[in-house]
Amino acid sequence: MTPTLAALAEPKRLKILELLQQGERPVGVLARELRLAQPSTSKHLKALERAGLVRVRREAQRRWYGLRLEPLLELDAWLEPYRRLWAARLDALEAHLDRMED
Amino acid sequence: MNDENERLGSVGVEGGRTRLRYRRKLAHPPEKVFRALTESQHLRHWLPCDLVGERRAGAPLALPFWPELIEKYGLEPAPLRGEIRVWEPPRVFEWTWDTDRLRWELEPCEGGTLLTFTTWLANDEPNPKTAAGYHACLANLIELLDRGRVETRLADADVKELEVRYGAGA
Repeated sequence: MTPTLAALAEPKRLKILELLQQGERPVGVLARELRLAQPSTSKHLKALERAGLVRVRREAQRRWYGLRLEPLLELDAWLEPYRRLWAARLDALEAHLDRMED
Repeated sequence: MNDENERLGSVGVEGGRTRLRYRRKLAHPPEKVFRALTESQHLRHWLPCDLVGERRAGAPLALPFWPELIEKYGLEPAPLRGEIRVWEPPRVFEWTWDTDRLRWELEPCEGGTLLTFTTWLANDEPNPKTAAGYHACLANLIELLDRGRVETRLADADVKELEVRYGAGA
Protein backbone atom coordinates (compact mmCIF):
# COMPACT_ATOMS: atom_id res chain seq x y z
CA MET A 1 0.00 0.00 0.00
CA THR A 2 2.77 2.46 0.79
CA PRO A 3 4.26 2.65 -2.72
CA THR A 4 0.77 3.17 -4.14
CA LEU A 5 0.10 6.06 -1.87
CA ALA A 6 3.59 7.47 -2.15
CA ALA A 7 2.82 7.78 -5.86
CA LEU A 8 -0.21 9.87 -4.94
CA ALA A 9 1.57 12.29 -2.65
CA GLU A 10 1.72 14.71 -5.55
CA PRO A 11 -1.52 16.71 -6.15
CA LYS A 12 -1.04 16.70 -9.93
CA ARG A 13 -1.12 12.93 -9.94
CA LEU A 14 -4.35 12.93 -7.97
CA LYS A 15 -5.75 15.33 -10.53
CA ILE A 16 -4.72 12.93 -13.29
CA LEU A 17 -6.66 10.14 -11.62
CA GLU A 18 -9.67 12.37 -11.27
CA LEU A 19 -9.57 13.14 -14.99
CA LEU A 20 -9.10 9.50 -15.90
CA GLN A 21 -12.16 8.63 -13.86
CA GLN A 22 -14.14 10.26 -16.61
CA GLY A 23 -12.51 8.17 -19.33
CA GLU A 24 -9.26 7.30 -21.07
CA ARG A 25 -7.09 10.08 -22.40
CA PRO A 26 -3.87 10.49 -24.34
CA VAL A 27 -1.00 12.32 -22.67
CA GLY A 28 -1.43 15.49 -24.78
CA VAL A 29 -5.01 15.97 -23.59
CA LEU A 30 -4.02 15.36 -19.97
CA ALA A 31 -1.16 17.84 -20.22
CA ARG A 32 -3.54 20.46 -21.55
CA GLU A 33 -6.10 19.81 -18.83
CA LEU A 34 -3.42 19.98 -16.14
CA ARG A 35 -1.73 22.99 -17.71
CA LEU A 36 1.57 21.13 -17.61
CA ALA A 37 4.25 20.47 -20.18
CA GLN A 38 3.97 17.09 -21.82
CA PRO A 39 7.27 15.70 -20.46
CA SER A 40 6.19 16.52 -16.88
CA THR A 41 2.85 14.88 -17.49
CA SER A 42 4.54 11.78 -18.87
CA LYS A 43 6.71 11.59 -15.77
CA HIS A 44 3.67 11.65 -13.53
CA LEU A 45 1.96 9.02 -15.65
CA LYS A 46 4.99 6.76 -15.39
CA ALA A 47 4.95 7.05 -11.61
CA LEU A 48 1.25 6.19 -11.55
CA GLU A 49 1.83 3.29 -13.91
CA ARG A 50 4.58 1.91 -11.65
CA ALA A 51 2.18 2.11 -8.73
CA GLY A 52 -0.45 0.19 -10.68
CA LEU A 53 -2.90 3.06 -10.75
CA VAL A 54 -2.98 3.64 -14.50
CA ARG A 55 -2.67 1.38 -17.52
CA VAL A 56 -1.81 2.15 -21.13
CA ARG A 57 -3.45 1.07 -24.33
CA ARG A 58 -1.98 1.65 -27.76
CA GLU A 59 -4.30 2.62 -30.56
CA ALA A 60 -2.90 3.74 -33.89
CA GLN A 61 -0.10 6.14 -33.01
CA ARG A 62 -1.44 7.15 -29.63
CA ARG A 63 -1.12 5.85 -26.12
CA TRP A 64 -4.34 6.01 -24.15
CA TYR A 65 -4.08 6.15 -20.38
CA GLY A 66 -6.80 4.66 -18.24
CA LEU A 67 -7.52 4.26 -14.54
CA ARG A 68 -6.78 1.02 -12.69
CA LEU A 69 -9.00 0.69 -9.68
CA GLU A 70 -7.42 -2.28 -7.94
CA PRO A 71 -5.12 -0.34 -5.59
CA LEU A 72 -7.93 2.03 -4.66
CA LEU A 73 -10.28 -0.81 -3.95
CA GLU A 74 -7.63 -2.43 -1.78
CA LEU A 75 -7.44 0.66 0.36
CA ASP A 76 -11.17 0.88 0.57
CA ALA A 77 -11.28 -2.76 1.65
CA TRP A 78 -8.71 -2.05 4.34
CA LEU A 79 -10.76 0.70 5.90
CA GLU A 80 -14.15 -0.88 5.51
CA PRO A 81 -14.08 -3.08 8.63
CA TYR A 82 -13.37 -0.08 10.83
CA ARG A 83 -16.13 1.93 9.25
CA ARG A 84 -18.63 -0.89 9.65
CA LEU A 85 -17.56 -1.55 13.20
CA TRP A 86 -18.23 1.97 14.38
CA ALA A 87 -21.41 2.23 12.36
CA ALA A 88 -22.66 -0.88 14.16
CA ARG A 89 -21.74 0.52 17.56
CA LEU A 90 -23.58 3.74 16.80
CA ASP A 91 -26.61 1.74 15.72
CA ALA A 92 -26.50 -0.08 19.07
CA LEU A 93 -26.15 3.24 20.91
CA GLU A 94 -29.24 4.57 19.15
CA ALA A 95 -31.22 1.43 19.91
CA HIS A 96 -30.24 1.67 23.57
CA LEU A 97 -31.18 5.35 23.77
CA ASP A 98 -34.62 4.49 22.44
CA ARG A 99 -35.10 1.97 25.26
CA MET A 100 -33.44 4.09 27.97
CA GLU A 101 -35.48 6.15 30.39
CA ASP A 102 -35.12 9.88 29.98
CA MET B 1 -24.97 10.66 -1.40
CA ASN B 2 -26.49 7.33 -0.59
CA ASP B 3 -27.48 6.56 2.98
CA GLU B 4 -25.24 3.55 3.42
CA ASN B 5 -22.16 5.62 2.69
CA GLU B 6 -23.21 8.25 5.22
CA ARG B 7 -23.90 5.57 7.77
CA LEU B 8 -20.36 4.22 7.34
CA GLY B 9 -18.78 7.54 8.13
CA SER B 10 -16.56 9.84 6.11
CA VAL B 11 -12.83 9.28 5.78
CA GLY B 12 -10.24 11.97 6.13
CA VAL B 13 -6.75 12.63 7.26
CA GLU B 14 -5.55 14.70 10.16
CA GLY B 15 -2.19 14.93 11.80
CA GLY B 16 -0.92 12.07 9.71
CA ARG B 17 -3.67 9.74 10.91
CA THR B 18 -6.73 8.31 9.27
CA ARG B 19 -9.86 9.92 10.59
CA LEU B 20 -13.41 8.58 10.51
CA ARG B 21 -16.31 10.93 11.18
CA TYR B 22 -19.95 10.04 11.77
CA ARG B 23 -22.94 12.31 12.17
CA ARG B 24 -26.20 11.14 13.59
CA LYS B 25 -29.35 12.97 14.53
CA LEU B 26 -30.72 11.49 17.72
CA ALA B 27 -34.22 12.00 19.07
CA HIS B 28 -32.97 12.45 22.62
CA PRO B 29 -31.69 15.44 24.59
CA PRO B 30 -27.92 15.98 24.92
CA GLU B 31 -27.86 15.27 28.67
CA LYS B 32 -29.34 11.84 28.08
CA VAL B 33 -27.03 11.05 25.19
CA PHE B 34 -24.05 12.15 27.25
CA ARG B 35 -25.04 9.71 30.01
CA ALA B 36 -25.30 6.89 27.49
CA LEU B 37 -21.79 7.76 26.29
CA THR B 38 -20.18 7.90 29.72
CA GLU B 39 -21.98 5.74 32.30
CA SER B 40 -21.02 2.08 32.66
CA GLN B 41 -24.58 0.77 32.90
CA HIS B 42 -25.27 2.29 29.48
CA LEU B 43 -21.90 1.63 27.87
CA ARG B 44 -22.54 -2.06 28.32
CA HIS B 45 -25.18 -1.93 25.60
CA TRP B 46 -23.06 -0.58 22.77
CA LEU B 47 -19.38 -0.33 23.61
CA PRO B 48 -17.38 -3.53 24.03
CA CYS B 49 -15.48 -2.24 27.03
CA ASP B 50 -16.09 -0.32 30.22
CA LEU B 51 -14.50 3.05 30.99
CA VAL B 52 -13.06 2.70 34.47
CA GLY B 53 -11.68 5.84 36.06
CA GLU B 54 -12.55 9.29 37.30
CA ARG B 55 -14.59 11.51 35.05
CA ARG B 56 -12.31 14.52 34.51
CA ALA B 57 -9.86 15.74 31.89
CA GLY B 58 -6.52 14.03 32.32
CA ALA B 59 -7.88 11.07 34.28
CA PRO B 60 -6.38 7.71 33.33
CA LEU B 61 -8.76 4.99 32.16
CA ALA B 62 -8.74 1.24 32.34
CA LEU B 63 -10.71 -0.24 29.45
CA PRO B 64 -11.68 -3.81 30.27
CA PHE B 65 -13.84 -5.78 27.86
CA TRP B 66 -17.15 -6.83 29.37
CA PRO B 67 -16.95 -10.31 30.96
CA GLU B 68 -19.62 -11.74 28.68
CA LEU B 69 -17.58 -10.70 25.62
CA ILE B 70 -14.36 -12.07 27.03
CA GLU B 71 -16.08 -15.37 27.49
CA LYS B 72 -17.95 -15.39 24.20
CA TYR B 73 -15.03 -14.39 21.98
CA GLY B 74 -12.07 -15.53 24.04
CA LEU B 75 -10.77 -11.98 24.33
CA GLU B 76 -7.64 -10.92 26.16
CA PRO B 77 -8.79 -10.25 29.72
CA ALA B 78 -6.07 -7.68 30.53
CA PRO B 79 -7.62 -4.23 29.99
CA LEU B 80 -6.25 -1.72 27.54
CA ARG B 81 -5.47 1.70 28.90
CA GLY B 82 -6.44 5.19 27.92
CA GLU B 83 -7.16 8.63 29.20
CA ILE B 84 -9.92 11.22 29.25
CA ARG B 85 -8.74 14.21 27.24
CA VAL B 86 -11.82 16.41 27.28
CA TRP B 87 -14.66 16.27 29.78
CA GLU B 88 -17.29 18.95 29.14
CA PRO B 89 -20.73 17.54 29.90
CA PRO B 90 -23.05 17.52 28.09
CA ARG B 91 -21.26 18.85 25.01
CA VAL B 92 -17.86 17.23 24.51
CA PHE B 93 -16.29 13.99 25.61
CA GLU B 94 -12.95 12.88 24.26
CA TRP B 95 -10.84 9.93 25.31
CA THR B 96 -8.14 7.64 24.08
CA TRP B 97 -8.52 3.92 23.65
CA ASP B 98 -4.96 2.63 23.59
CA THR B 99 -3.62 4.33 20.44
CA ASP B 100 -6.99 5.41 19.02
CA ARG B 101 -8.58 8.73 19.83
CA LEU B 102 -12.34 9.19 20.15
CA ARG B 103 -14.23 12.45 20.28
CA TRP B 104 -17.94 12.89 20.90
CA GLU B 105 -19.58 16.24 20.23
CA LEU B 106 -23.19 16.86 21.16
CA GLU B 107 -25.15 19.77 19.83
CA PRO B 108 -28.76 20.42 20.77
CA CYS B 109 -31.01 20.64 17.77
CA GLU B 110 -34.68 20.59 17.03
CA GLY B 111 -35.96 17.18 18.01
CA GLY B 112 -32.92 16.19 20.02
CA THR B 113 -29.18 16.05 19.54
CA LEU B 114 -26.81 16.23 16.64
CA LEU B 115 -24.04 13.79 17.50
CA THR B 116 -20.69 14.02 15.80
CA PHE B 117 -18.35 11.16 16.48
CA THR B 118 -14.77 11.34 15.28
CA THR B 119 -12.10 8.73 15.68
CA TRP B 120 -8.47 8.91 14.68
CA LEU B 121 -7.09 5.46 14.00
CA ALA B 122 -3.76 4.15 15.19
CA ASN B 123 -1.03 4.83 12.74
CA ASP B 124 0.56 1.49 11.99
CA GLU B 125 3.07 2.73 9.45
CA PRO B 126 6.49 1.79 10.77
CA ASN B 127 8.21 4.73 9.12
CA PRO B 128 6.99 8.07 10.50
CA LYS B 129 8.35 9.92 7.50
CA THR B 130 6.08 8.21 5.03
CA ALA B 131 3.06 8.00 7.32
CA ALA B 132 1.95 11.59 6.86
CA GLY B 133 2.13 11.34 3.09
CA TYR B 134 0.46 7.97 3.16
CA HIS B 135 -2.48 9.19 5.15
CA ALA B 136 -2.85 12.41 3.24
CA CYS B 137 -3.24 10.40 0.07
CA LEU B 138 -5.65 7.97 1.64
CA ALA B 139 -8.18 10.70 2.24
CA ASN B 140 -7.97 11.96 -1.29
CA LEU B 141 -8.27 8.48 -2.70
CA ILE B 142 -11.35 7.70 -0.72
CA GLU B 143 -12.78 11.01 -1.83
CA LEU B 144 -12.24 9.96 -5.41
CA LEU B 145 -14.14 6.75 -4.76
CA ASP B 146 -16.89 8.47 -2.84
CA ARG B 147 -17.56 10.95 -5.58
CA GLY B 148 -18.45 7.89 -7.66
CA ARG B 149 -18.03 9.48 -11.05
CA VAL B 150 -16.73 6.32 -12.67
CA GLU B 151 -18.16 5.91 -16.15
CA THR B 152 -19.45 2.52 -17.19
CA ARG B 153 -17.80 2.83 -20.57
CA LEU B 154 -14.53 2.02 -18.83
CA ALA B 155 -15.50 -1.61 -19.36
CA ASP B 156 -13.51 -3.22 -16.59
CA ALA B 157 -14.34 -5.72 -13.89
CA ASP B 158 -12.94 -3.31 -11.34
CA VAL B 159 -15.51 -0.72 -12.28
CA LYS B 160 -18.37 -3.10 -11.62
CA GLU B 161 -17.01 -3.63 -8.12
CA LEU B 162 -16.84 0.13 -7.56
CA GLU B 163 -20.41 0.58 -8.73
CA VAL B 164 -21.62 -2.07 -6.33
CA ARG B 165 -19.85 -0.44 -3.43
CA TYR B 166 -20.66 3.16 -4.17
CA GLY B 167 -23.81 3.03 -6.23
CA ALA B 168 -22.42 5.07 -9.14
CA GLY B 169 -25.14 7.25 -10.53
CA ALA B 170 -26.78 7.64 -7.13
